[in-house]
Amino acid sequence: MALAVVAVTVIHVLSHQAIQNLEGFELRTSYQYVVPVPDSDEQQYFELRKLWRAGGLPDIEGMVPVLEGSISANGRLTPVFGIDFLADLNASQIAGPSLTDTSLLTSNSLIALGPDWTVGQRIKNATIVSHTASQTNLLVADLPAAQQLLGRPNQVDAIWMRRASTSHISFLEDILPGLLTGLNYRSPKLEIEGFDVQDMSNWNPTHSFAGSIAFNLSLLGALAVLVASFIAYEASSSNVTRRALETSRLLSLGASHAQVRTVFLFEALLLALAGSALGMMIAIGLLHVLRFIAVEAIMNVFVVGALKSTLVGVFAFLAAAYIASSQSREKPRRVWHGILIALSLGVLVFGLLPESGLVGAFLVVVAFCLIQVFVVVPLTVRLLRQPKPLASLKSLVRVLFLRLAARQFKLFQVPLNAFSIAIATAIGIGLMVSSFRVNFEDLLDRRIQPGLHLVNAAQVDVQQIAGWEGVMDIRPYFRSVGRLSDGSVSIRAARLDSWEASRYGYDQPVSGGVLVNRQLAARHGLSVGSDLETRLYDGTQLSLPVLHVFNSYGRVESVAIVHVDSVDTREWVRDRITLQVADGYEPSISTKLRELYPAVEVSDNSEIRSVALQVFDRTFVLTNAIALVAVIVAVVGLLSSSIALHERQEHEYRLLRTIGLSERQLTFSTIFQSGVFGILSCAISLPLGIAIAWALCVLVNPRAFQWTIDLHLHAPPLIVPISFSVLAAMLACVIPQLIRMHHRN
Amino acid sequence: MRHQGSGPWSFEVFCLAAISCLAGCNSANQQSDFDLTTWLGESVNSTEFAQVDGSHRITFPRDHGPHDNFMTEWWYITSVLETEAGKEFGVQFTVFRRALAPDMEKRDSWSTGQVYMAHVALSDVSKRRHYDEERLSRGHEMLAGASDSPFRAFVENWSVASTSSEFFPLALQAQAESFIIDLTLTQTKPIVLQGKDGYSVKSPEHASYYYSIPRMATTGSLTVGKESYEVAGFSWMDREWSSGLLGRQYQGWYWFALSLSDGRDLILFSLRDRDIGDDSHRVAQWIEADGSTNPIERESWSAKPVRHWKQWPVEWELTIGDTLLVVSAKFDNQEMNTQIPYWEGLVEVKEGAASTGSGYMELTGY
Repeated sequence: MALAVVAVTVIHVLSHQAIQNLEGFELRTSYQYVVPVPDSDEQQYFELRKLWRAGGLPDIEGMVPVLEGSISANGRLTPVFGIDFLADLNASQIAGPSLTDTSLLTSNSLIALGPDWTVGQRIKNATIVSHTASQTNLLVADLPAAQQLLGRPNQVDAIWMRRASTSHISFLEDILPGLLTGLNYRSPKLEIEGFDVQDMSNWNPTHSFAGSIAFNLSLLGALAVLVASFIAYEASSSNVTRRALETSRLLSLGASHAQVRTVFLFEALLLALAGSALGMMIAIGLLHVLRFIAVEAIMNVFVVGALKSTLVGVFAFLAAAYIASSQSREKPRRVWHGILIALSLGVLVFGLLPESGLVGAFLVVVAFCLIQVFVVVPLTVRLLRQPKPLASLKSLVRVLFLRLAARQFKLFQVPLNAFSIAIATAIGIGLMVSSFRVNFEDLLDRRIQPGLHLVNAAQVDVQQIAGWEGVMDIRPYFRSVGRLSDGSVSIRAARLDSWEASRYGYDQPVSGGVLVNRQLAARHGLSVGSDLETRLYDGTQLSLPVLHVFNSYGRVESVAIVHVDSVDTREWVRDRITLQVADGYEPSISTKLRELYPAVEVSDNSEIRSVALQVFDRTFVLTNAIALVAVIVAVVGLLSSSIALHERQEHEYRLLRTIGLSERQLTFSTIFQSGVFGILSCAISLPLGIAIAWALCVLVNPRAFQWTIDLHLHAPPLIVPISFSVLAAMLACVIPQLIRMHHRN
Repeated sequence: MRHQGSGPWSFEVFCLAAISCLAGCNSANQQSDFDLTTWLGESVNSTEFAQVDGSHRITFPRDHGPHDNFMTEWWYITSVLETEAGKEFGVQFTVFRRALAPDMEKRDSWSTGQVYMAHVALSDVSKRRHYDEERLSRGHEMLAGASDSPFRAFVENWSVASTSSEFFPLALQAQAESFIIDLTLTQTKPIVLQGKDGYSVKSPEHASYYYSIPRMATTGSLTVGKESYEVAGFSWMDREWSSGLLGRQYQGWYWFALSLSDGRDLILFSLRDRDIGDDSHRVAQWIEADGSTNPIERESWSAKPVRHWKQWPVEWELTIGDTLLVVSAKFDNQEMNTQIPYWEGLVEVKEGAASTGSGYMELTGY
């Protein structure tokens, strides 16, 4: 229970932190609707606002006009947002904490988000007056300042609208970060005659991305609670069985079943609260180590997370105790078993439907686990208990041992369920991560060819470098931003010959088409053969057929790649360059470039690959840690159940001795049972683990992040959990034997 | 008198309200220590704006319009209204203007350097309900602004405007979420220039240009929810502009604009000094039935709160010479639920047991 509380609380805090880190530009998340403005005609905004103020949009609480564009700053393409800060009181929050004068409204001032800026820095005719830390670069300005910066006076690109009464939605997100993303929640459809009102989700993919990460983490945290619930049930059940005599005495003295049950529930409550308190203390310590707890805002989040985990834990414990105490009187009915199996299959079918979204994908995992609990484990027990033909006394002993193993299996059914689910999850996550890594490495191998990569390279003179000794080829990359009818797209232009196209998994040169990433394809319903139609911020219309859809792991943005000859790149930013250099020339050319262009980031592509893989491995440390917590919880439960049951085994062993089995045979019996138990535990965990890995690769990842992962069944991710599984299961059998021997001595 | 710090809204209140609106929303959505006080208020050097030095001669219609070179100003209207069946209502309507910088040139329609704010409130006496809303907008011909000929001051579809080339009659219209105001105001008494020909000195450091239009005959309709009412009554308008800042020593003020049944109007107010209380700066003046003004000597009147609701003194005894007037709220809960709460509401005036008038009272800083 304590470990489950730690897992849920820490994950809750980390999820909030992850969302905050990813969403540097939080203002957009306050708005649920986007109304694109045709031809950027500001009159559309005034008309819509007039309609709203006249009571025509009762569901809307606020609206702001927005201008979007991009400029070349610090040698790279940087998005610019212009917002009328005074149009909606809510809009002011973007101003951030460091603004100290009115200059944001009175002069061409900018709020800079991202790592590349300093306060006071001049960008064209504007000055940065405030800086906010963020992972991505963005410049935000009051609307007229942005209009001036982008050279688009009196233009408005979009109108953002904020719904009234969304506090319950915010509350749900606070309680379970990423829940709305998981549920594929969309704001209620809003129809306004003459205006194309769209949901904000496509315009703010970072929000969905962050939400998906948080949701995935939250569900992994829930796994620890689920496993803890099984253990709680097992503990409660043992408690009820052990105190059967006490219970019958209480009943004969006139106590009602409800009163007896209340005693068990009260005890469970005390245990759960004690476990929660311990868990919270460990969580505080852990977060303190991670340096989160000192931040006041995070402290608030921590309190919510701690309360949530405690409530969930207490509920799970009480439910387990209730079921266990009820079962002491009533045998579970077959009909309920059938209903639960049918329900599991129903959940499975529902989750497989693409419309069920991310929640559906996880429901598939849940359905696999339920099928394991209600079908696989009971069937295995039944198979083991089937009578075998008796050819000899030797075979009788074997059958006896086998049936003892089956009995062991049945006695441990509940903790074994928890254990197998935890091990299977560890296998599933391990397989998914290793498959993802293989896919990612493949992508890096294709995408990162030997050579040098230059970032922020707008000022680099390509012609000059082409003449340098050792430079074999230069590939400049141009970037722009385009607007689709329902979102925006980052557009890159490159020399898309067969070499370049192959980097994206397309095996022929591209001339009159476009390569798009899966994020773009999924968000805007594009596929090979359909047309990508977009208008660039410089006003250019672009309409090109989609030739190929490629994976771009870790990316949030929608990306399209076109051949440099198919667009006019004069207004684009050429901020990246790849150099192919002759063997041995990398160091000298790097040095020369750094001396000539100190602001340009020069990297060897092999370094980029290594760093990318390091980042990848770091990313999944937390995921693996959560799975490990679940496994530890399950093992602890299994061992404690095993110890609790040793008395019952002693009775069986006495019986075996009576029928003539020697001590040697009994020791062999223990080893045999342990082996069978371990192998069976492993055998039932392995298919479930593979099934979970399949669901994570094929359902969860595409639905959460749009990219796909090919499942690879590698040995390493299987070996550790399986070894752990066999070892823990064998220990669960051996420990009672050791205790027995200890008692006899 | 609606002056620097003594009227229903001063520069500081406007700034603080705007600040608080923005910062309040800020904290609701994202915990931030963003201090908008400095953004809209203290960061600007008020001495760089046009100064109130008494040299300006108030002339109309020019001075009905905005004075963008001064830091702040407002158009403030309160109405005491009644239906034919005797159902009583009160209305408050205020448009504030704030210049963001003293020397900002108007570059285009979006960057005017002016911010407007408006408050609208309606008091339904029979239901004892008080409704209020507020808005903030940048100065923009399509969003918010003011002009003199024809006169208009507006924040989106909340406006007070001349209905012809003449200043009067005025149309006061505001569609809020829970009520609609549609009134016509007609002049019955001459404009009263406060202080010395409109040059109103507040303290040795502060002054404003200030005039009032008392007892404007008012007719029109009010809609509250689904019910509409034809109403009639009278309104009071205050206009004030300046560039100075109210001293930190002032906590707040009380302010009364009362219309008595004998045709006279009475305005009185007092600033509350942190150290010496209500006596720091106080003014009272009769406006006779014929429109002539009659200032009341400082020593000849006093005001004493006799009942509180929450922190607000909602019932007062006004002693003016030998006359004792009791001014009490028509109902207590007329608190403005704006970002900075204040009390602004309909009051009744009694002399002995007899009701002798009604008007508006404003209480701030309590």
